[in-house]
Amino acid sequence: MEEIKKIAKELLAENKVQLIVGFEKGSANKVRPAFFTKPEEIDQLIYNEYCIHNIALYLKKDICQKANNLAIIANPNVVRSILQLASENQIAEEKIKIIGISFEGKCVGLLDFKAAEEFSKTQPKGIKPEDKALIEKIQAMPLEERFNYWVEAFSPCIKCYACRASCPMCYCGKCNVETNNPQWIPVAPHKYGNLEWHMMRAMHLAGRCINCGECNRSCPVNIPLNILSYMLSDFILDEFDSEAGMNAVFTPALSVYTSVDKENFIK
Amino acid sequence: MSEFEPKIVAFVCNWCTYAGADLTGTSRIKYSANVRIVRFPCTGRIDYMLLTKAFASGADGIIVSGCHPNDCHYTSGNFYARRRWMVFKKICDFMGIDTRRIVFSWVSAAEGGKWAEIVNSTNEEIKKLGPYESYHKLSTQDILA
Amino acid sequence: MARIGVFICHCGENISATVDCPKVSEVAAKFPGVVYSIDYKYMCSDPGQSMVVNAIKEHKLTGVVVSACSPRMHEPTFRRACAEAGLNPYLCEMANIREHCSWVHEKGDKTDQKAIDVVRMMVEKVKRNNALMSIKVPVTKTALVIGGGVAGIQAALDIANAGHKVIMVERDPSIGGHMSQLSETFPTLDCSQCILTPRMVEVAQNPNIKLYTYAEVESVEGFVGNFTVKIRKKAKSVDETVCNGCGLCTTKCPNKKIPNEFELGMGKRPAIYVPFPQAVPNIPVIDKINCTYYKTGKCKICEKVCQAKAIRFDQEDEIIEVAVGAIAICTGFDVKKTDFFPEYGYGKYKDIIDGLQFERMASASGPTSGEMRRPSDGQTPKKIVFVACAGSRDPAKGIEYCSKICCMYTAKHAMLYKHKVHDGTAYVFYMDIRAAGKNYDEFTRRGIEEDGAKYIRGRVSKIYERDGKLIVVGADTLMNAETVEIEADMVVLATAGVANPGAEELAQKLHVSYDQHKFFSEAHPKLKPVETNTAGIYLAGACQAPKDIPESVAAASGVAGKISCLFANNELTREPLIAFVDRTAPPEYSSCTGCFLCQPVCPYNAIEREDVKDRNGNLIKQLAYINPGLCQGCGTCVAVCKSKSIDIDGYTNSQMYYEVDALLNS
Repeated sequence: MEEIKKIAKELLAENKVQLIVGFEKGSANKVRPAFFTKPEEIDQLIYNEYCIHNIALYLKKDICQKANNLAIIANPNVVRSILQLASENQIAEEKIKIIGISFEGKCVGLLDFKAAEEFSKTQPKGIKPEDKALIEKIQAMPLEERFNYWVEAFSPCIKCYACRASCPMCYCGKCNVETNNPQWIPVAPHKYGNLEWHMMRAMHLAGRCINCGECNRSCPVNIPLNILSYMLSDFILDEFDSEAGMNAVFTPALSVYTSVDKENFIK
Repeated sequence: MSEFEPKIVAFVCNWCTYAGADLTGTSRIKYSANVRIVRFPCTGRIDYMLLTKAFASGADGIIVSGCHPNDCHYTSGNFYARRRWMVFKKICDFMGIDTRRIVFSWVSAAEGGKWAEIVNSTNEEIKKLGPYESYHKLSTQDILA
Repeated sequence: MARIGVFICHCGENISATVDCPKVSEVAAKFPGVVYSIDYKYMCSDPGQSMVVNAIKEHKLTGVVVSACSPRMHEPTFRRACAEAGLNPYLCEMANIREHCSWVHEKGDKTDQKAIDVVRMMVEKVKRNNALMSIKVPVTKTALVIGGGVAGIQAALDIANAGHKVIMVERDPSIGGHMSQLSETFPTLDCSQCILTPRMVEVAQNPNIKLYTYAEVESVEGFVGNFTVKIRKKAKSVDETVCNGCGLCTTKCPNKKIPNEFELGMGKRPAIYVPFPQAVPNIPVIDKINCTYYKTGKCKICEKVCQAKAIRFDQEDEIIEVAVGAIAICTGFDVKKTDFFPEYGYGKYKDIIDGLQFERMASASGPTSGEMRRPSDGQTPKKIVFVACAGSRDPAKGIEYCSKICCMYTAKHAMLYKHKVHDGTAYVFYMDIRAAGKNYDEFTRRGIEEDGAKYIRGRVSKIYERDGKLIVVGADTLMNAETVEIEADMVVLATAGVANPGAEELAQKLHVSYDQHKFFSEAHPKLKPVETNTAGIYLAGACQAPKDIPESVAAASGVAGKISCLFANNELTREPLIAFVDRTAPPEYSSCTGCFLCQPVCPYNAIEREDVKDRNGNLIKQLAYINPGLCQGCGTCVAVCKSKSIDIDGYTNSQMYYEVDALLNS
């Protein structure tokens, strides 16, 4: 903790960055993301086990976009998001300093992209046993039951789009769901609209999701959205040996192919 | 009650399968009239959202077909499509969408006979499965509920 | 409001025998937006087309659906008719109710319903069609010819004589290619050098042709009409502008024992050399690998004897950038060497040579001055065996195809041998004699009937040495597959013609496709034999498949014709069915997020990065931009784009969506 503050303070004091994205104390016992621009503000910076938000999200927001350079307190999920964003031309290495923190909360100092890639590879991957169990449970269901499971799971969805708003990879200025003429996805929160919305989102994240689980965490009605992406990430790693968030120069699985891709399902 | 006639929508590329289906015609090979063909420049162009759209609009079965690997008029559109189909099929399976109702095939401009077989076999398969009521219901009645 | 006209064709009885055309027309008339609907016996006939034209004018149609045969058949016809009536041709669509309906279904309600659905679907599509203008791109009227063999020479001369500039790039120090190595040519037995050399000189002297020898294509960018090519001029260590070609250096070079590539190793050459006496240009190059000075730092005899002071030991490779509008690939072929054949001793017997080596031996300018002397001891071979199909038509060897030229040149070789060694015997082992071509069969017959070449139909199983003779063991399949054993003095293998080394690499630089044998692929095997799939890049000669001289020359002239057609216009016109990225007003500029996940999927490298900058030059946003000159309209990028920022004319998101919608929501 003290080390993080020291690095952060120095970066601001020496004018190496204009902005630091981190956390501060929120109401009650909570923490909230915060932006620091002066060395003296760093006293407010905190980092503890509650700081789980994927704050890479803010890199695409105005406040970060307008800064010439910035630093970010980055747990492995944030690091992976940064690498994936970098591979998608959304953030440049020269603009960002990564203050790396392991899942155990240990500060590993400033990381350039190369070091971030190494760090990302050594850190454990996100999927929780209970999520894995749920995926297996769903996969074991008969077709109709699986369908009904999801229809029911999505039925409380109120289309608040918190999943989208909390996802660092959902950075499109104009989301597909807001495209009309044609209206690809019905906007109303009925079962059909919900199903297609969540399916489309899973497809858009296929090969790009770094599995931070923010979509699930932010969902006010607790839809297990993260397992859609988990399941696909697993599949994509298996089939295409492709994994998002590991390299700053990377082409996601759906933008490449190999001549030996499976086609036993094609007549 | 008359026999169930499935609605089948075929999404095909212009250069191979569309031309293959033309050849089925010039060869006068008969096949089921339940299929409607939608022409695309390339399988690479076929948006998976059109597939769900088709189900939602009442299709009971879908055929997606294009050039064999290495035959793509645009050299590689079908390869990207193939990957996309794999992932799309996976998510559909996981979400309980009936992928038995989606037939993927390679039909070249020379395979008029194969086109007829694909349509007929899909037609038979969908007849066995019956109307895709669960999806149709979702996209119609439940909206009003 | 849309005002759509629907025109249902009976196609004689082709459609109307199965589909109730008047009924379809009647139903179509009630579709929303349809203001005119009619059926007619032959829509594609003159009166049929006039109906379309008149209806457009009379009913002020904004879109036309012709429900007839496949659009692959008559779409251009009806688009032209629309244009004639003043309607943008891209506001016309065809509903295929013949190939996809009347010809494949039985008469009945289901078939009628399908025809109605197909028409409805196209009506909904055409409502959303955009008026499009064909795309114009400027043309640089300079052609790049890669390869200076007979195909390249022919293409370059034809293009130059049509009045266009040509840049020719040749990998070797001289142009001429394999043809310059040949002795006589079939089916006329005229001397190869005698017919080729004047053309080589013509290339050098033609003011429209810029020749780069000892040079290779480094990279190619751009698109039809507008390519940028980088050429690597390898260092010759000789100043071409000063050298007068006297050749003194080549005679004084102390290192004269280097195997001569032009003679296929059968002769020697010095380290500073011109490949052959008639070389164009007649400028020597220093072979840096074998030159004593480059190896040891001492010698420089050539520099001392050169009166023109043309030797430049410090010369470096030079990269030249040129702008061209079209590219002709004429890089030729290679032949398998004798060491490819384990059954024939892996090239260890000196007196087993390949066809090209025989050409050199038979050539008056070759290492034996045209006399038949076998490589091992210089004796005249009295018994010679020619083996056709050495490697070719042999799937086990990985060369399934017929090398095509071997039957003819083997017959020629047997004849040349008999003309030179009157008392000798020539045997030819063959699978089939494939002598299709003008005066070709007559030629092989002459070899058999007049010159007495002994043809044996069968394959050679092995060749080994015994007492200074080569024992050729084969079978005569016309004699009950009896084993034949010939004690030969020399054997000539008509080894398979294969792709040139480096063909694959060049194909990748040019983004043209090639087959599993690394031969370049034509755009269509019958109708586009000299085009590649990449617009503006053409193929001639044996880089496409083994070809003989007449075929190569014909293809080269074909390429020249194609390129001259291209250059006949100042601008190119292309079908406008291509993808584009949306643009909106600032501060958004586009819904494109600049993720560039579309970039790798484009088969044509058409997607570029466009910088949006403010007035001070600061970068605001980076957006995808699709180069309309390069895009071929596959639409793969459209399906990959998550924000639906890319769309493709002719198959827009809106068109496809409503097509599907119309099909089902009836």
